[in-house]
Amino acid sequence: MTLFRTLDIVLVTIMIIAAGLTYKVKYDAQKRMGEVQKIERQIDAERNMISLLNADWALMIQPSRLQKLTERYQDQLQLQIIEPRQIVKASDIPERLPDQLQDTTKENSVKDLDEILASTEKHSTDQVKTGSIPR
Amino acid sequence: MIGWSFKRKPKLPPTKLEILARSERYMKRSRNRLIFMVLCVIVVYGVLVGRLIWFGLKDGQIEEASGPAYKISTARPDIVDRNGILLATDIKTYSLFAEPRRIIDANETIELLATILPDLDWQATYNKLRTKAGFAWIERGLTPTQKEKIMALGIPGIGFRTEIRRFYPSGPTASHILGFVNVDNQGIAGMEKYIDQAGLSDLRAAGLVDETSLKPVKLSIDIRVQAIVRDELEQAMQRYSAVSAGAAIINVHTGEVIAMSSVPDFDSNNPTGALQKDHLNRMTAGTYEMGSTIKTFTTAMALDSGKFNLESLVDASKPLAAGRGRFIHDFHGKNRPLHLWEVFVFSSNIGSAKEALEIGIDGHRDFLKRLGLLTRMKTELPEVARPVEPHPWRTVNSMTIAFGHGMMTTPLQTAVGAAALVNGGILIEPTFLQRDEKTAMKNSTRVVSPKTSQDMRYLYKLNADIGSGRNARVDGYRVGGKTGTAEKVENGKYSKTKVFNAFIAAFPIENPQYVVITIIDDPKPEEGTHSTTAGFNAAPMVKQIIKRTATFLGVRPNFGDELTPILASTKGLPETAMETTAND
Repeated sequence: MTLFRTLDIVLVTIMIIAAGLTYKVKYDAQKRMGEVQKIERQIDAERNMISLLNADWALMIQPSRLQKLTERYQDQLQLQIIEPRQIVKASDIPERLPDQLQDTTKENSVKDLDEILASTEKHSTDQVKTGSIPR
Repeated sequence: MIGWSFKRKPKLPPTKLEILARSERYMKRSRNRLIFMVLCVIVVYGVLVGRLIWFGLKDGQIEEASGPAYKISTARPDIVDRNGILLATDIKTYSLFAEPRRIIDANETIELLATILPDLDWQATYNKLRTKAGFAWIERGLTPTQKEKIMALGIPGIGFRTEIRRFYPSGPTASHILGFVNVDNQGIAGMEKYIDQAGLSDLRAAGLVDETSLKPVKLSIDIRVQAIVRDELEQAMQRYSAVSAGAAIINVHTGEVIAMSSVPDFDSNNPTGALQKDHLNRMTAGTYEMGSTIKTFTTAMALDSGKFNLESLVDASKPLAAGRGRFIHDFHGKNRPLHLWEVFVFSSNIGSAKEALEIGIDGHRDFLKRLGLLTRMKTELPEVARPVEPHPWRTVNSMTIAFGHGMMTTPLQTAVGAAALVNGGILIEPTFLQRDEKTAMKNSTRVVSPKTSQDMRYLYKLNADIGSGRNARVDGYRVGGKTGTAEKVENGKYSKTKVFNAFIAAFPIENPQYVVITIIDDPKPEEGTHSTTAGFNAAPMVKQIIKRTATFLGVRPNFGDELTPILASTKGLPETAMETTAND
């Protein structure tokens, strides 16, 4: 008889643990499901935002809009329609003659471009500021 | 069971042996039944467990998380231009509504809303909220950011509905090509309609359309070129006080339409204007008598038949009788026999009519049919008009059609035909979708010989050098082309004052990449000139369009070849610009 009771107690305990575990798993799963749904809603919202921003960007770069802007700010921009003669291939640009480059090189009678480039490196950095804007 | 058996056969009490045998039989039967029942249960539960395991192993989205089906059914693919710039997209907007019955303090609600919606009409909104109605729209088309902010205010009695709206960033720039959608987001015009017909609606019906699964549709259009073309058309409309104007640029090797515009037009975002008759797409949905531009085809037909060459003489010394006492005249006629190249460059009506007579009615009609000028153009755009031809063709029809009257066709298919004449003689179906040369060749047919095509290029160049196309020349881009000035039909008669002009150009003419066509309806003379012929309006339009778009089209200017003739072998033909008076 005692054997039977022990077995009963063990079985009942196992059953209660199983029930508890099942409850926990189910609860966790629901919680996770909720999280997943929340993230999916967020993804959806982000996606909407992206498509909206894309549309906004497309609106910003509309050629007709840019044309209107250049017309409005013509005083400052001074942009003009490109002339066919302004378009050349890189190979069409003649090599710059050495004597046109720098006055200092005149005395030294530099023969080729490499020497000129080498000679300019001796000078300190130029005054032109490029890159980031100070905040 | 046993008792029942006894009742049935009471007269014969069974022997012991009999009872034993019977009970054994019963036992066997009931055991079989039990096994059968157990098997059934095992099979049913087995199936259930199997299904459960299968569902557990199957990966895929969580069914609960997917949204309602109606949202999915209205999704449309984005439309982008050939460089990937967005031309049409779905955007989700939010519409704010109120349930006035549930609003506690209308004034406070409006005050709070106004912090986020500064344009809110206070008075109108107040009137709406004060009622005891169940529902009232407050503001439509809000952005997600505005929605979030309003939600954060925590006002009772208001809510949002999502609405999908089709948005066209380019507005009216490419409206005739893109078309538009109805309130259910279904394409009802232009490429939008094509997309629906090409299978989207079927997919939708099957529930297979999902917002993320739709690939953007890439058009052949270059929106930069398109914007320039439209800008030039609007300027031309104003400059010549015209009724309408149109233009198209086609790649001659792929059949891609790079730009096509017709003004006046409408805004795809607000397509109410599209229904006005005035706003139709004249390039594909309008048919016109194309005038002298058709001489391109007459000349090509004459050359391709083998009966003529560039130097063949055609007698244009006398007006040509066209039956019922009417005569075909030349505009500023030369009154002498003309070489074939002169017929083209001087745009002689008599000469062209004589060429057609030589070919014969059937040959003439077959040639135009071969070039696709008499059949409804096959392309993606749904708005395509059917050309109008006389029925039946008589000699007089053939004669007038030779110089572009008596037959109506759409400007775009005229350009497509011209492209076939300059690209080496291959007719390629026009397309509004991006396509490469190889695919284009599959939908193509040879219509004239390469030699004829070469001669046509020479004639186009010659006409731009010394003929009516001089005003279309752009330094560096070697433009060749043909003008066309057609008298408009008014009250059943050809008008003497109103004209419909066209210019077809190909460039760079020694190896054409693009064909440009411009049309202008009822232009008036520009200030300082007196002429309304195509050389004074349609040709300068082409010039401006080419000058501004050539770099986008990838054509390099070349100033070296300007004076070299295309056909070095042809002797006795004019090689460079010379002093000749030409007319249209």
